[in-house]
Amino acid sequence: MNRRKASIIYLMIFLVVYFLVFTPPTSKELIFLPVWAKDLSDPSNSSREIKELEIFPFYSEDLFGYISVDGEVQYAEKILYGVALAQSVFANYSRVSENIVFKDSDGRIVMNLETSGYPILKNGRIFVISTDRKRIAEWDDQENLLWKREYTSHITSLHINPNTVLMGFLNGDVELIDKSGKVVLKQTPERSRVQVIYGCAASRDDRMIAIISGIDPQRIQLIQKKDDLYKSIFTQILENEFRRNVYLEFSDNDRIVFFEGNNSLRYLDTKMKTLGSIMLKGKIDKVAFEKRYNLFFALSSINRENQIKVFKPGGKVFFESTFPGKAAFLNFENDSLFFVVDRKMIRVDLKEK
Amino acid sequence: MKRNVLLISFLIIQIQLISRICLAYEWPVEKIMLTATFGESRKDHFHSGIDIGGGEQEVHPIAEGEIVFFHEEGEDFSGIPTGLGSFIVVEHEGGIKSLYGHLKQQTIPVSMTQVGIKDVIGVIGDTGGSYGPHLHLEIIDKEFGQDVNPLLLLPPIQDKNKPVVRTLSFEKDGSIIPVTSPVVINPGTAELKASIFDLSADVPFYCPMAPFSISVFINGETTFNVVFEALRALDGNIILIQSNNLTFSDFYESDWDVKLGKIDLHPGESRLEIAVKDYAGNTTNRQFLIKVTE
Repeated sequence: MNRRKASIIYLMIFLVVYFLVFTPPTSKELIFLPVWAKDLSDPSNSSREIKELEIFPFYSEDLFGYISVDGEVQYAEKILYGVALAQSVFANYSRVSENIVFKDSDGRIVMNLETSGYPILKNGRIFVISTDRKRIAEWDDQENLLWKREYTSHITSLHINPNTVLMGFLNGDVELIDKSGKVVLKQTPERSRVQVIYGCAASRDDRMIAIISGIDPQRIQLIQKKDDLYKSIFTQILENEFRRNVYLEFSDNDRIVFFEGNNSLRYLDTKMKTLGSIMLKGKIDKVAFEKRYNLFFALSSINRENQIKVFKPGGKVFFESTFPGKAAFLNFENDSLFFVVDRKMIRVDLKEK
Repeated sequence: MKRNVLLISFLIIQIQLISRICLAYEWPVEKIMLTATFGESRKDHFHSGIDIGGGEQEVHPIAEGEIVFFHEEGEDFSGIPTGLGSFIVVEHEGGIKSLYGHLKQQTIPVSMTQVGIKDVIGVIGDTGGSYGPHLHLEIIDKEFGQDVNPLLLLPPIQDKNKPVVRTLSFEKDGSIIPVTSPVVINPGTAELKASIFDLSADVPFYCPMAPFSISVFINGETTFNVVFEALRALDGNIILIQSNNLTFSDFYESDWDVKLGKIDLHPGESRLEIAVKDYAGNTTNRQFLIKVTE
């Protein structure tokens, strides 16, 4: 038996034992059932034609591609410098290039933009941001430039919704742009001694905007649209003073805003205007939401050690685990959790006992 | 005697104080090798800073200040790709910010907040969109919303190389007419185009850079003027200030080919003069006789 197969088998055994012994005490007696583990280091492209609906994009430390829920790799490629990845199209880009090539999930070229910069694919939209983060442009899938904007201040944070683009800047401004490229909101949050935007996010309906800004003090602010005007509805001074980007995201139902705290994942209930906190070591990598059982999965990492916590809205933690390696990816497809550690993808299903 | 000593001491102190005010910023590295200047073409945008080579050396802030933002390549908190690699931003007195890009990974002092000019804030590297190790330095004036040419604020460096006007031509009615002296041309409106660059004094290889200013005169009257002093945003576009709000595409045709404005040519003789100055004050002047005939 070769070493690679052995390590996969050992990993599966470990997971079975670990998850069965540490069954999370949810009210519905859920168990986490490992289904498969796949080594992505040397994926062989599947010869079976996999329907597009069955596949989803993944990325690991230096590899990305498309994989089915059954663990069959449709396509995989080494990341050049960065990759913009969407459900059916990707752009793998190098550090310096004069054009951006877009391919489908089979690796066939579908578009070529003759522009410098780096691509971003989100919500069915195609953006190119300049290498110095001072210009952003939107393109359509026919290679037409839809709009572009240039700034003297660097874009420090970016959130893309289906109809808007929200940007935070080094000069402390926040700008919301509509689908035509028009600025519909330009605002400077409440003043601090140092004015920089460290994180911004918008709800899916664009009615709420969350911003983390400033030093001395650093604040989280919630702005809501009322009668075509955006007004501040909540502000809280934070005890931390991050001087880099911070994790900031609305939950799928826009009820909760998750954001990074000092060794913690903090959350703001946008309806009740209350704050909570879950201890979480290191950098917040991802918060994924499992719809059926109403569970949040948070993944964080520090120095090649990772922590995963499973909790309910309100902050009750049901399960937590630490594991070594470089965790790169966490995603839900239906009731299956997929995560990548050290180029190994693992599928774990949630089942009621 | 005692009075003279006191007077001399007073004068020395005054000179030092004035020097500190005028030369508040210092170069961020010890070995200064300028490899790119402010306002250069970057294919589709103006270069908004300067590039400094000189190998892997320690980087210091240009003045004391506070670290207000940093990004470490490979540790993505924003989801926004960046070609600046690992970079750090320091805020100085008066809201001026300086940015240091392409730093070597894991050399940014992430736990420091206040920094002095002797503190190390990184090491020159080649992270991000870089062809080789160099420091990208920007100076941002928040109050006026401008990127300022760092060469205007840093201590002057020696340079005896004059800028080069490699080619000069008129484009008229679809034809290119090289400008020689004299140049014979029909009346009408023609666009003046040129290939212009400055050469770095610091590097032993061919390294063209943008000059500091370009001016065109017809019979002593200014018809075109561009100064690479500062950039600002106007209606979603970046323009050169003090240069008739020129955008990148208004000015550049390619890396070193520039458009120097339209000139109305009337029958008779006119004197065309072009003056190109670099950041050290070296000037290249070229004069031509234009004969406009039917």
